[in-house]
Amino acid sequence: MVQRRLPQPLQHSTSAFSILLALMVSGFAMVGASGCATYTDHVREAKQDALQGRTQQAVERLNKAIGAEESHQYPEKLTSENTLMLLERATLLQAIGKYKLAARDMMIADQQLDWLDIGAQGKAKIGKYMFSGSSVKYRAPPFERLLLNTLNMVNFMAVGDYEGAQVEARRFSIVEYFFLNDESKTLLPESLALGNYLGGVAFEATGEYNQAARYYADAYRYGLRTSRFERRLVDLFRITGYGGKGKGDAVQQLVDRSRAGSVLSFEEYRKQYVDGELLMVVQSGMAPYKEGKKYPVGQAIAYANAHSYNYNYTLSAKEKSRAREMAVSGALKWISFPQLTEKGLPGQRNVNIFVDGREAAVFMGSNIERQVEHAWERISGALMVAAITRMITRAAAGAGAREATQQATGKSGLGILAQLAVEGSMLAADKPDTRSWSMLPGRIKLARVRLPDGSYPVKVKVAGRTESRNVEIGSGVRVVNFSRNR
Amino acid sequence: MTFPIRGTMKEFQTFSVILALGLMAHLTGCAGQHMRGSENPALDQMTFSLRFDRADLDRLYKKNIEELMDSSIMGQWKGQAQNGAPPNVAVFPIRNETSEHIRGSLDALVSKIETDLVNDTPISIIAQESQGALISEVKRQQSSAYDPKRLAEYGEQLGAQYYITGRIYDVAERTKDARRVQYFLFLQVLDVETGAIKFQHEASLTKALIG
Amino acid sequence: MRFTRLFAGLLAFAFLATSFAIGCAPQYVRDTEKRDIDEAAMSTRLDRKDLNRLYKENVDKMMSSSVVGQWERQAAQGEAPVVAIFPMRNETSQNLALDALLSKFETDLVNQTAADVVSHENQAELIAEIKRQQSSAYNPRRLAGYGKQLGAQYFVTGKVYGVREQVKAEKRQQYFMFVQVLDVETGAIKFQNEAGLTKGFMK
Repeated sequence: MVQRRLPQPLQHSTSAFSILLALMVSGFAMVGASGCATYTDHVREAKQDALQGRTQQAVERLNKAIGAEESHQYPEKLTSENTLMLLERATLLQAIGKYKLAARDMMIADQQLDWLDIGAQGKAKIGKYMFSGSSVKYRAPPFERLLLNTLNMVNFMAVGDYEGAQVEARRFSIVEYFFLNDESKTLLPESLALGNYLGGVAFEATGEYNQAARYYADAYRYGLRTSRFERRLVDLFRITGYGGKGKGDAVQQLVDRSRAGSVLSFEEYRKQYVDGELLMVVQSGMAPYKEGKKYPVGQAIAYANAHSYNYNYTLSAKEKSRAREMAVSGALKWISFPQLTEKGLPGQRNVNIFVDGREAAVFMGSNIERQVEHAWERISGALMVAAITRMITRAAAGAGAREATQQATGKSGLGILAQLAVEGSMLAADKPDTRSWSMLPGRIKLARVRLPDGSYPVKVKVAGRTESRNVEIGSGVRVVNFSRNR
Repeated sequence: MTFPIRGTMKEFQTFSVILALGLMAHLTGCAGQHMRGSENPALDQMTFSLRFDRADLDRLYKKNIEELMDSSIMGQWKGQAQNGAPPNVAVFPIRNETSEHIRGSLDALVSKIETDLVNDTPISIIAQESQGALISEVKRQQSSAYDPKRLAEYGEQLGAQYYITGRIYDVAERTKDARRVQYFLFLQVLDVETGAIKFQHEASLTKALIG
Repeated sequence: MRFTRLFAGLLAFAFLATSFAIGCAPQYVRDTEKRDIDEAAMSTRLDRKDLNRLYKENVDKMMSSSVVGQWERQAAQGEAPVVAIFPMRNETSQNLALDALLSKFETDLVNQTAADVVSHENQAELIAEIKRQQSSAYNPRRLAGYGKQLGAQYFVTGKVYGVREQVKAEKRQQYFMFVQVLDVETGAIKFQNEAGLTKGFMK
């Protein structure tokens, strides 16, 4: 075998090269030892404050994190992490009744937020997205994207701006249509029910009953069902002649019921179902969030197999074998991967609502906790496959660097250093993406009552803590939000 | 000390220049600066969102005002004015039926129309400012207030014989890489007494975000 | 040395390329900047091009119909008819911009016929009555009664319905737009026309 020799200048550089490599390795070791802060770490304290009811303090922490002195300011530069933090802040501003600021923040996030589509991206792209942290734009799962418009409808309706709420309802519909057409299997029906229900409220409040009928029909179709809501729908279908085409059997049954019986006048409908209505939206608990975890290679492969819902993202036998070989040789030790957790979060909260001293019937608007878990379950297998593939590539690059350096220099020590430098630089940059809209509530519950004109005390109890407010009832619908006590 | 890579000083210098250029490009690409439209006329021409900016408002406004000025109802009003009885015309907000928050832009558009009608026609415009609480009520009631009968009642309260209003709709679509909003703006003149539409014009505009 | 030069050159190139690649992000455009922006089909719903086409097919026929001719003759005798126009009924499962379609009809009726056009988009009860027009609940005398209240002699109404089919990932949506002019007093249909259009998603 012909021994290739480096040209002279490069031979002379090997000592400098060694020093450089040693520096790089120790540098990355230090970084590795100290640990890189993830998104979860950045919002941890604000979350704790929010959970303890210190919402204003939580807002101030987030203001600091995005470089704003006051809540009316927003970041000069909208990076991916800033945008997500803006959304977190919006959730808390809503909780303390700053609806216009919350709406403004959500509208900014709405323009910036992209969504995660694992459909056609390919393992390499997904892997890159997962591990490039804040350098890559945050991609929200579809349910977060829909909840943005849903919760923003609450912001607008809380201040009586039904035009704004209707714009958000239309925006919700556009995004909903896109995800339904994409056959996104990460969405649970209840993620669509609440948004459609609130859209129905927004249009019904201003007498646009045809539009209200369409939105309410979808809310019913996707599972928001109470006997009082059914009566409302039957009468709404009756006055509008809504046919319920394409909305499924459950809606069709209501349409059939609406055909019987005498026609209600619009004025009668308004008096019975719109004037004097009070809708209370209660957000409690907090959605599960992500933390980075190290999976040994074998466990990672088993995880990918167990959560395999997308045939585009499976490990081939060759890839599995390569990964196992690398684990044995020590070239591939573990996979860093985000794990969904509820650590530190409250469990399911009891919600009691009292209007003028009388308890109101509460119904489920959306179980966001369940949606988060379901969406993660559907995609995490594909993400793990992408992570393993990426790690195999990295380990191969490291091994390649060792081979090349050993050949070039004839020194195996340098080769090892080169491998460690390449792997180390990649590993140091590789922290799993733990970003998510973590201030989302675990559940959203609703209560709806009709009252004569007047002023009424409303008390909402969540896990023993009470939030009280006085609400004025007159003509039309009043919408009030309670989300300070989680 | 011998330079570690002998004979490569020239290459090092070349490399440094390239690196410096790249760094400059990177930095100037990232660094921003504040400026006025008078300093950079192109500032108003750039497209920043799917909503309306000044260029869009000017365009929509122009398309509609030209038609209104040339319409038969304007001719009729001028005739009435010449006979010493200029009509009273109220201007109501344009109804937003789109998926974009453009209320501010629509109010600005109405103000532009009012300005030209006040300055360039003999009709008597009942300005929005003087309608105060009434306009807030109109905006608040939204749909029910846009019932032509209801608007006619408001018009009567103001002593108007005609009112100008409008509606804007959109078709908004998105794919994985693109978004498009196609706007349809309809400007109307209605007779308070009969509810008849005496003028109507459609102006359209499209904004998109393409990847 | 060759290796070093090559490496340095590649590094510099990559750095420059990254710097200038910042300009390749998505960008907002107006239709005046990108003339063909309205041409592409982006979904199976009705966009401006579709609405214009469906509308044009119907309105061209309506404008050259005998009933519009009759309006001209009535107007010439000083008795311009009052025509009330109602929103297009959406009989599809989709949220369509049919209000825009209504306004387009209004615009052409106002600008191109001698009729006095009255918009009743918020006469919801009347609309519901017209919806019942095609059922056994339809009562032409009741319709005439409404017409008298409004002072209208003719109603322009319409509906859009659709057929949606899907095979695996490929979809087809066929739209049918149907326009009518009704004589309020007699309930007779004085004009009727149907236009169709198809949108699809094919792989």
